[in-house]
Amino acid sequence: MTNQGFDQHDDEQISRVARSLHREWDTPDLWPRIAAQMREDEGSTPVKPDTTRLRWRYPSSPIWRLAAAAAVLLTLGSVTWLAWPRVDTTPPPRAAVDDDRLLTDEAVAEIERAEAQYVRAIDELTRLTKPKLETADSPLIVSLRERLMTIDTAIDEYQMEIDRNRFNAHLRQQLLWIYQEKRRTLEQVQESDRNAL
Amino acid sequence: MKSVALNMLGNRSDAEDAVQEAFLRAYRSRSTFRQDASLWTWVYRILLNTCRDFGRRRVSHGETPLDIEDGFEPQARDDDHPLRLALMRALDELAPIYREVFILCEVEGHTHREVADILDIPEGTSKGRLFEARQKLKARLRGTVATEHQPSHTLRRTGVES
Repeated sequence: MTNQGFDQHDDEQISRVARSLHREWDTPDLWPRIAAQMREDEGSTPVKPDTTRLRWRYPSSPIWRLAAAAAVLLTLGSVTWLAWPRVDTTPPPRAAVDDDRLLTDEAVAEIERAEAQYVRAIDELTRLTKPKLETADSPLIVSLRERLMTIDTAIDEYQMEIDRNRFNAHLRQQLLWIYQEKRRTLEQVQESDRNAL
Repeated sequence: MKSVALNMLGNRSDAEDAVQEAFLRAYRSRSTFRQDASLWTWVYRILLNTCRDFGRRRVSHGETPLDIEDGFEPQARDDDHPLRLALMRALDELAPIYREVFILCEVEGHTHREVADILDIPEGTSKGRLFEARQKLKARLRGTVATEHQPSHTLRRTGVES
């Protein structure tokens, strides 16, 4: 390849070669490692994450230790806060609780109806986009497929949290929002052909 | 996301560590997430910040050599290989603000709107940076593609502005 040859096609060539810099490779241990670390953060599992590489990188940093201590304190604080309403022996009626972070039974039922609607819409979109997600290998589809995997992981995490605390408004709101994100992403998959034209 | 991190950092091991750390940072700071933004762009933004942090740590600890074989798939050994190599080198020398936009737009196929959301910049700035990035890359490639066979077995990624 010569300089002259390069000059003639530079923009096209740069774009073409740039696209080939996108890479995919299998990392079967990455997501389990992240999920285990998240669970450890929440102090809810005895599973030890494989974070040896990160630990190896900062084995003796005081800042790292301080951050770890802060994370432990934060986790303990969160767990205490979450557990408090359950150990209270004389709780007021839920509807009367003056705390917008806890939902009433009616609100929970309404949110669960909304969630069910999202799940139905998502199931339908998943069915429609499945062939494209399984066969297309354009960078956009690969990126969206990866995004969907992450969203599914997030949904699983939030559902686990919600199973422990159904009345937490923040968690329910976050889950609804993640459902919206999944729907948007699936719609992007559907529209990807149109954008490519 | 791994691909973005790989192109920002230059090796798979660091790329995987950066993705892991980005997700953990996102998880830990999920309460600060603003719902007027997209969850995905927010996570991407955290990933890019994480990559910048990794780059800065490298600078403070000295450069890390990148084995070319680590960055290239075996099937990359085709006619494009010299230009790919030259582009990787040229990208490595770009300032992070240009490199990020180029990688997101040209390598990963994001639209300017998405890039603007991810980097929290106006769409016009994204377009301007991509134009600048292309100009800088072209200038560098013109000078290097002709010498594509020069002996070099390591790339160095510094993460600092050229």
